[in-house]
Amino acid sequence: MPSLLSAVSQAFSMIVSLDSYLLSVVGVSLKVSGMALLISVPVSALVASLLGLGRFPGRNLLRTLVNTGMGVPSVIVGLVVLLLLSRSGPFGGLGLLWTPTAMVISQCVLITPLITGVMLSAVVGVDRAISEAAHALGASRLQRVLTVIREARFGFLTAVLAGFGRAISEVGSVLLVGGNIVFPNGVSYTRTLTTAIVVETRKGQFETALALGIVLIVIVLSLNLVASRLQRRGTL
Amino acid sequence: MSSILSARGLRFVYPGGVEALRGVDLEIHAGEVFAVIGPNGAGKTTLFRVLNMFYRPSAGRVEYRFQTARDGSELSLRRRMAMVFQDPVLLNASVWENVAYGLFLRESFPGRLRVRLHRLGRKFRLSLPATELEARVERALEEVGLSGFGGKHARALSRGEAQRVALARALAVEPELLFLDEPTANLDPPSALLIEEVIRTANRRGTTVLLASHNIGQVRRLADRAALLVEGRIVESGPVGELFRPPGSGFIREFVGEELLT
Repeated sequence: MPSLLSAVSQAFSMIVSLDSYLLSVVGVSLKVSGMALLISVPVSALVASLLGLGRFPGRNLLRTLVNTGMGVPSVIVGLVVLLLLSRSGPFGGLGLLWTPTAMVISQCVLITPLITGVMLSAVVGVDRAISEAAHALGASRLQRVLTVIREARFGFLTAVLAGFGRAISEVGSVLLVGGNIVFPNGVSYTRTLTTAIVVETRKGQFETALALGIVLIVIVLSLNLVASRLQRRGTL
Repeated sequence: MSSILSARGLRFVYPGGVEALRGVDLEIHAGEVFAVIGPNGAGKTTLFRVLNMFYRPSAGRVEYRFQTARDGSELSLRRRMAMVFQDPVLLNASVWENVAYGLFLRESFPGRLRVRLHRLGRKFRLSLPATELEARVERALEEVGLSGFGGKHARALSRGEAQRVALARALAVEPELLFLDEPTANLDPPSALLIEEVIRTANRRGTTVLLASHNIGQVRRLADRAALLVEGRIVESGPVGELFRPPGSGFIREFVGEELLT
């Protein structure tokens, strides 16, 4: 085991030299989580708006469901998606298991309730008087809804960032459905930052694991920084 | 005098069963300032909400006779009215965005885009002539004495300033009928007087004003006619000069206080 100091310095030199393995792992992580986000956000925005502003039976049940979904452990999601996509499962014929697509699917399942939940509390948190003021100034029904959503915009952005943060730092489900695969030429196929850290640590490649960890932390920290700045703006 | 709004037999019952309006008849003349006075809980706010179509009356009907409504649809009628509330409700945005809000609601999509691009250009210091929408926002801000406040954030305003922005936002859409629900109730006297002056100017320009107020002095200063609402019924109404002349009816004496009748 190398000393911590030398591991750190080697890790930095890997990052600075843009190590091709490192880059491909970062690429897979960003692609998978980015794609999951792209799919989840519109769905979440719609569901959150409906749950927050609509009046229909079953609304409270759905809200509870969303809140429950926010806390589901990622391995459980991975397990369920694995069973669904495995050869003997209902969607086995699609041949999606051990592909980035499978990882995107499991991350979508994982982050949609989280994003929806945060967006929902943002929409519900908008002063009811805003809606009446919009009406009183000549807003149509749709314009009223859009006005309320616009008021919740900082909360929506926070939700997006929180969703991305959860997706990119999650290990359990991507490991189960992606398979942590690397091509023989050393380029990642379904290996993400988190799953790579697990593998490299097990192999004793601590400097690689550290380099990956540093990249991951930088990504997550900068997201949180942006999120907290947005929140401050929203409550100015 | 021609009527701009007439209400017949308005009743309103809240879902909980509380009957807030128990048969209100009202005739508002074009160009006047009409005050609705009454104790807390008399139904003034409910009445305004029914008249501006926020609530549908449980019984009775309201007729609007606007000159400029494009058709008889609810939206086009609503767009001839505007309302200012007791507490200013501003959007989480700049003062300019707040005042422009009602205008944007009425603008077509290309029109909105044009104004946005225009403002973006201005930001990059291109010298562009003002669009009609921008000019109206400017005028409205000027009218309430807040020119130059456009770039400020709405949350950075004092209460009095915020209420003036709310008033500017309502005036910017040039409503035929303006509802003011206790617009100065939570303001200090100087701010209240400033708002009264703006109301007077708008009325002189032809805006009909429906004012709910607690403040008898204000009603006297602003209103042509007034109605006293008690427990969901109009118990007294008439020109302000006659209404408050002693001895006054029992209702008026009780509400206003004997010593204030002159």
